[in-house]
Amino acid sequence: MSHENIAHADHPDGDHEHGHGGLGKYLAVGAALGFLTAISFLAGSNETIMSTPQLGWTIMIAVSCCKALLVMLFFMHLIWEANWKYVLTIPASIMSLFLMLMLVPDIGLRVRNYSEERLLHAAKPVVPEDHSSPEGADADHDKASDDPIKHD
Amino acid sequence: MAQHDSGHHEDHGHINLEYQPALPINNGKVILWLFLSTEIMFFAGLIGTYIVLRFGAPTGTWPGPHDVHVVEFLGAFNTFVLICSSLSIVLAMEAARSNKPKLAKLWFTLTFGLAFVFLGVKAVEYNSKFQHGIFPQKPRSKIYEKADIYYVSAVRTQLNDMVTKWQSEETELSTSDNAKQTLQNEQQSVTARRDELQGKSRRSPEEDEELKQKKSRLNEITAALRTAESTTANLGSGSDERKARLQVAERLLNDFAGWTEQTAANTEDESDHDKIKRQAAMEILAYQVYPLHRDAHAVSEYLRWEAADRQEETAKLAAERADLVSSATAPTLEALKVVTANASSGEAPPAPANLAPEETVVLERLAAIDARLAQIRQREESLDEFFAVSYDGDKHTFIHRDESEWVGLNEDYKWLKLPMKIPSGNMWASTYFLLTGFHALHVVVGLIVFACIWPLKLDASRANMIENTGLYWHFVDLVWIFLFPLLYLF
Repeated sequence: MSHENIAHADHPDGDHEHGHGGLGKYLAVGAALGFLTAISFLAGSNETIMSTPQLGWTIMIAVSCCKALLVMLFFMHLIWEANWKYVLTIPASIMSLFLMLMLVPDIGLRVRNYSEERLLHAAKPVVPEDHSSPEGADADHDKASDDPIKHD
Repeated sequence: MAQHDSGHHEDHGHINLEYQPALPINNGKVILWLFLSTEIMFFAGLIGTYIVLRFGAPTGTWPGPHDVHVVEFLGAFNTFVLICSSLSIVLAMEAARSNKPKLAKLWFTLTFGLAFVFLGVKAVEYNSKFQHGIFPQKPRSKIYEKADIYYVSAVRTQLNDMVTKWQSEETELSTSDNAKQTLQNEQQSVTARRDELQGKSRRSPEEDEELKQKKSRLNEITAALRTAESTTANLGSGSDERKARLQVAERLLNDFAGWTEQTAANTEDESDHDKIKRQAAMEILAYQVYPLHRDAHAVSEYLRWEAADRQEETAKLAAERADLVSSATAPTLEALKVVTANASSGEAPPAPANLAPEETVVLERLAAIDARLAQIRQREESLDEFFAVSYDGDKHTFIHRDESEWVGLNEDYKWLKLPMKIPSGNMWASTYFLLTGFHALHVVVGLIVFACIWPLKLDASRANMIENTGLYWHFVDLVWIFLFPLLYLF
């Protein structure tokens, strides 16, 4: 089977794969990608946005998804491909979602189930608020920062 | 397919339908897309695991970009580089399709170059982490999750090892210098005697015997001198540097690590207040070695406490000392002078004076007070010398004496390489290097493929080849699109 035939089968209009793409479209996508990168860079380094990190993270992930879509649809031509594209992309993408969901209970929430001994060596943030008046340290904090010397 | 449908005319009863043995795309593309779907799962696994580990880390501990020398700008630049290369390879494919091999080669070369730029930036970034001792390794080998007593003792042990090693090297050097001097003197006298004996026209049997002895002794001396000289040469070359380092390490050992360990291990008072003070001392040390931006505010508070404590203790001890001195007997004060002199010259414990038991008690107390006062004074001197900082409340940073931001002892003295407190730092290093490493590996594979294609004539017959390479390359870009915000900005 020759190339012509494949192209024909793919594009019955006979336009030989020139019907899509084109310099202008690619440049526009490239510019959009650059613009979106700038947005996520600004969101990531903007202190107002990052004062509520969740907002920044949401923006950045949304931007990343947009960029990924743009690349896949235009640069990887998925928008012009036949339906076989779903067979390959959807099952693979499901894996990414389920992997994360499956890991959350025991890995994502692992700190909640740390044993005393594990907690002893676990990272912990320095919380100045709790320390500002040494006498007023609350019980909760003390538990987390239990002095290791005592356990020796 | 439809070949077997009932048909007519000359084609053996078949309708003239197009037979399609596979997907309506070329085989190379099918294989590549299959490969990419496994790649999607591969990176989905990596990125998904990273997200879960990162957000599952103890709240508020994941290192910020600047805590681990990540420069956001470089990441953004690399993102841009990859986007440009994606664009250029798609344009190379378009040019090849329209049978413009020269234009295609131009775009393709640009892609090739951009891939190198990406790897170059990556190398710079990796190097800056390695330089600071951040790479995947056993937990608590260099990176500590928190400033606990294990951390402090690791710092102390390392400083102690340095000091011991360098001190013994210095001792060895001076010993070998002395030995060399002695040997040279002996060599002179023996040589003189030998020459004298040899010059005699007639020697008695005893003299013959002596000459033999002198000759063999001279050989021994020459050998010993050679050993001593090589020791001197080995150790002497870096002696000045070593002495300077030794001085710094000794001060840090006594007045930073030692002081902190003593404060942190002081469990006389078990009140909550005191526990937090002990924790504060360890946080100060961790900050001095490797400052984390987010700890600056707390540490400024801790330093104020420590200064207040030092002042209070000094005042208390000075008052007690004045009391004791005013009531002490003359011999006690005499003995104290001896003790103090001995302590400052670092000699063995004082010779016991002929004192009454009460006087001994007073003497011991006075000596203890003096020792503690000296310790506090030294701590203050060392703080002033190595950690002369002021807290800038607006910027939440410490400013060094020379108006630069405080970057830590590890940065001030690059040879120190002390353990660092970076909460969740080990997990960060493992995930960062795994993710970026696998991605970089894909870039390398892309480079190899580019290198294979580059010499070819990129006309219409190669368009599919470029398209398939492009698909792979876009995927590499796609992965980076997610890695950039996750690793640099989150």
